[in-house]
Amino acid sequence: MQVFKTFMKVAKKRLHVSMIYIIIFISIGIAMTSTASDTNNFTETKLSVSITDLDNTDASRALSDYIAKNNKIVEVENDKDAIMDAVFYRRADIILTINEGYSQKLANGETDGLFSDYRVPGSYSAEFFDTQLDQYIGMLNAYTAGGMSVDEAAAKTAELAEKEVSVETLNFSENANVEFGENISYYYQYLAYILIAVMISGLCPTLLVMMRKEIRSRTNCSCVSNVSQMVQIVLGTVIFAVGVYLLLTVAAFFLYHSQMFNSKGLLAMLNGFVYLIFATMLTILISVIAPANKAVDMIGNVISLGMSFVCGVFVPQSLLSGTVLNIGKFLPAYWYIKANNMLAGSNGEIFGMGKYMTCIGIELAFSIAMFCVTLLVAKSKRSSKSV
Amino acid sequence: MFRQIFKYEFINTIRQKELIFWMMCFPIILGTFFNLAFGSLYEKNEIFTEIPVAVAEVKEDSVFREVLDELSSGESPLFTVQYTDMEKAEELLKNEDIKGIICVDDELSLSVAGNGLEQSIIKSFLEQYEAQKTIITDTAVNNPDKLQDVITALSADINCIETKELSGGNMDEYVQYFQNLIAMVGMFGTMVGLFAATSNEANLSAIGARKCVAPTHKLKSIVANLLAAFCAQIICVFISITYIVFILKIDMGDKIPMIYLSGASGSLLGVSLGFLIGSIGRMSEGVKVGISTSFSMFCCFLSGLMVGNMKAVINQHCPIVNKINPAAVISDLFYCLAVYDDYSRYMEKMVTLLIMSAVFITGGFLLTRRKKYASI
Repeated sequence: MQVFKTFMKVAKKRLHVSMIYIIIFISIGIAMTSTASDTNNFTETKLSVSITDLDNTDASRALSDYIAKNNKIVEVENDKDAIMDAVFYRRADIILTINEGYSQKLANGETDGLFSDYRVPGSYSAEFFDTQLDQYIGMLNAYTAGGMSVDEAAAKTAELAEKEVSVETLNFSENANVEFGENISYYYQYLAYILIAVMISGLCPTLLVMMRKEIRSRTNCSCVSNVSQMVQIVLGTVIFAVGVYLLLTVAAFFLYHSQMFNSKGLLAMLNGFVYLIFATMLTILISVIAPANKAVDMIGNVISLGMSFVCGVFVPQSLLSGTVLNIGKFLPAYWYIKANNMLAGSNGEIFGMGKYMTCIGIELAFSIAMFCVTLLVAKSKRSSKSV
Repeated sequence: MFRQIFKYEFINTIRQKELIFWMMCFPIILGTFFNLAFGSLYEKNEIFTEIPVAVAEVKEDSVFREVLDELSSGESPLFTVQYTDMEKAEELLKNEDIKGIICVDDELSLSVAGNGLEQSIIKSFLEQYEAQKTIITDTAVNNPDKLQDVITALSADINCIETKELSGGNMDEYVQYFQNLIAMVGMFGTMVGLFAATSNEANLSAIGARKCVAPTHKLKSIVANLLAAFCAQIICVFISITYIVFILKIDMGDKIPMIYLSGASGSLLGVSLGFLIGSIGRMSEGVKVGISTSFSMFCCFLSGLMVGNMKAVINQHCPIVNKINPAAVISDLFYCLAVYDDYSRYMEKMVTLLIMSAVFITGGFLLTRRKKYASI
């Protein structure tokens, strides 16, 4: 097993690069677990709103309370640059000023110029805030028209605003009641990036060393047969790949406990494993093409980032344009993410076992295709050398 | 002699294939990916378009229908409405053709397939309608003589918010990824700067050893070196900017010459930082490259290359970092050009950048001068 031992020694030297990727990935996974959210019940979106109350009356304070109840209040300095930064970077969706005379104007039945604000013009958040504020002012105005004082009307409006319309969240998946939260879904989503990055940066240089001409020549003149050499290298590759997969799966067990043991968790593991096969095949192909050592990082970065951007790892598939998605369909990461979306019930994907297995099948087909191309390249290289 | 050194250093730099990949090809590739992924996000995700809803009427409510019809017509409608039965509506929701099903019965209810702003807007509208209904009913029972006034107040157009314009600039937050991408290219100038520094150090490169025994004044040699590095870096940055602005057609503002000037300034900062790192201590070139790459990427991370709103988060918790982070300073130049109408904040950032560059270059010179090698 000398070839295998050498393989492992070389792999060990490159292990730190793979470990950096894995550690960063798991750390982000841990950080995200702390922000878990329940996706089974409807949760109303909360906007980030900054309020400056220039009126400072009971009525304006009641309005501030109403806004705070439905949204998240953020502090933004009253300075042009701070306001610009807050709106541009979406730290605040709305920066609202309750103008002086708010209470008085309402008492007179006027609604014009009660507020001024900064916002991203024409955005969904602006529309949502307008709906909220129009609802409040409309009710308040109606109560004052009915003869109430502004303060009484504000109290009554707050009371009425408590009443909520019932909202039901429909889940159309076959196994809708099986838990597969947002976090585990993100974990497996980003796995598509990390697997490719780790395999190319960790395994590829090792394979390149093993396939270096001098090393091959030296091994060939030893008593180890060609078949034995190949088997030992394949064994090393499989152990490396499975090791990476097990490490990431064990981390997922610690992070998501019970969600990993149900049917969806197991299917996610299957999806990850099939994608690992593709990542391994791709790595072998790259090493057979035998680029310069320095080029491995370039190739790894371009492939891992490229597939992730085009196939919906970094940006949800539902937000990508039709053209990008059509390009993505020619890449296995698209099908991996589609399968993962089915489990999570996100991006408009509805789980169906048949559809899920189709995605897995396509991923496998990509792996087989990659294997065939590898054989072809290897053969053509060998024959060109013999010439 | 100055021209000779400059010429050969320039040729030497642009022949470094690895450097050219990271500084020229990688930004173009990453920019293309950014464009594919983020290109339609702002329009799709942020800019409001009417929300498709289905209405399933178990009980007829002509007033509600009238209100809905009014809201789904006109210049800027809130909804596009399909009246159908519950079964068909669920099918539409399943296929993501609609965002919610409004069920009209004794009370209004909503069925959705997930959370989101669109769903929240539908819910808010339904609550508004229910609240108005309650007010009218209550008034009719308790205070019937005020009923007409209440109805008039409820049906009045409310125009209570006066929206102030922040700037005429581009408010697409995804543009910051491209701003940070150019900042990243600027920061990759550290590699060129470092290369310029190490090629003057006898213990780090053969060419450095050769230069040290040459009679040319060291200052002349280093300045020529730095200038060559700066020129090579500027070419890379300009290519990236041209690709982003003219080929990908990313809206980075209409002050195009200023965008190129900012790119050149970013290059200066990157090269000078690389020169400083390259001049520190007697570490091997590999260690220095490791330090400079990690530092540059960490700066880019803090300025938001990987996580869009990172700069805002840092601004909230530790604003000083944004003021001294070279990548943040470079990307701020592009941000100011894209969103501000005037140059006051831009000038502030530019002065910071120039001071930082001057400090780095001076530091580099101080560390390089009078270095002697007893034996190599």
